[in-house]
Amino acid sequence: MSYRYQLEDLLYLLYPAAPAIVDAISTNRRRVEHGLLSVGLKIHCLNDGAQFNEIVSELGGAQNILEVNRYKNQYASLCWVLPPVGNARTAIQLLEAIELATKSNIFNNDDIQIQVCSPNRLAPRYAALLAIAFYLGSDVLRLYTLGDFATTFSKFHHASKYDRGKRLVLYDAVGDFDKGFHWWGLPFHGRPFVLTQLPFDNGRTDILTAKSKLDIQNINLVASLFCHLEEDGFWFQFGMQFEKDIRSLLKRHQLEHIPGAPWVRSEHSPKDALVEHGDDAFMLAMQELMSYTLEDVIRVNRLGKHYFSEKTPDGPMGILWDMKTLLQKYRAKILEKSNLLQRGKKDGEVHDTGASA
Amino acid sequence: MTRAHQPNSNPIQIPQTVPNPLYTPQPAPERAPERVPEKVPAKVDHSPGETRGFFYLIFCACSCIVARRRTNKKERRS
Repeated sequence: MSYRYQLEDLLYLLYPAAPAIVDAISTNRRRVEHGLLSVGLKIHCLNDGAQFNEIVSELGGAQNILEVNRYKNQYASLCWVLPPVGNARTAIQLLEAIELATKSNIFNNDDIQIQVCSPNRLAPRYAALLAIAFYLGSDVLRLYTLGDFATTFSKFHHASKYDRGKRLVLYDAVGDFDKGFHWWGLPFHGRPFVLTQLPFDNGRTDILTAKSKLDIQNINLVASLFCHLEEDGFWFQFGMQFEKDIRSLLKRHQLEHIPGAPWVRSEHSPKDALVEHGDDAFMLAMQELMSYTLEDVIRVNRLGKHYFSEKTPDGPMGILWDMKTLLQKYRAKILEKSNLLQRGKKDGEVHDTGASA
Repeated sequence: MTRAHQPNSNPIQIPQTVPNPLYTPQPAPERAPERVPEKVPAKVDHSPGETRGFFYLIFCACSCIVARRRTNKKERRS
């Protein structure tokens, strides 16, 4: 991600509109919470983007801030790259502060598409599961067309290694990478081996179409679990269990073949040589997932809003319920263990084992 | 909105977003209107009252006069 300004410059501009939030952001901007990954954000503006004009010009003008990136949604007037922060909570606060400063909505706004960027290129099979978990766990279910995923990097005039196709998940195109966030490595005497930097030099896995605060939290959670699984992080075990659980969830709903579709495209996708073929195959899987989910929505609405809150789950409850429960379960597990570690640290049981932390 | 057209039929409107029913904010439970009591008990007055207040005022005035006289005496001696 390229951005030619500092977070401090942006915070200075946001301070008059949201002083308390800006204070919280500046305190926690590098803080990694519960060993989860850092979060990067891009705002794709599908209207004229006039609400951001003032801030962008104060930061250095559209030419320096926006046009430095050639990448954006095909139909977007602008793509504003925000500096990465250490945790999902601070990322949400940053967007809230921008909302207050611009007096316009970013969350749940049809004219705004939030791209959530997580460090490390996940393997395609994990990227697929990340996209599925994001879609089913969202509080706003979208009915996509292939055009919704079109970006300026979908396909170049000549075949390029940066052809990303029209997909929900995107890999980076080798830009700037901020690795200055703590990484919880494999447990050492039951405690995370904390590194001051991420253990990979480059690479990102992005979800293109987040809309809500819950989306950002869910993407951060699932991307962290899979990243720790791939890179031998502290949450390796949870990542492995999560993969198993999500695959069995899909199997219960007869969707086990869905992750096999080309959900993401990279220069090393041999099966996906022709971009359009991959796009079509991905969209077929996406449509199947969307129609199955829509049926579940209709079923839940028919049963009544209070169905799930009153009935105890003793039988099949539907894919939306299953995904919600799964995400809640893993969030609770991580919080519980992380809080235990924190308590141990306060009592002097846990010592700082960081290599350089 | 996405529109699907069929010959000789009205266009069908398909929404682009559907709220997840598990996350839809539930309406606040309807509260029964608060009951107004038929008879309101008389308010009990715990204030010192006029008579007690009057004697308190006289006591304060006297103590001020005494204090004033004492200071005058001290000033004359010095």
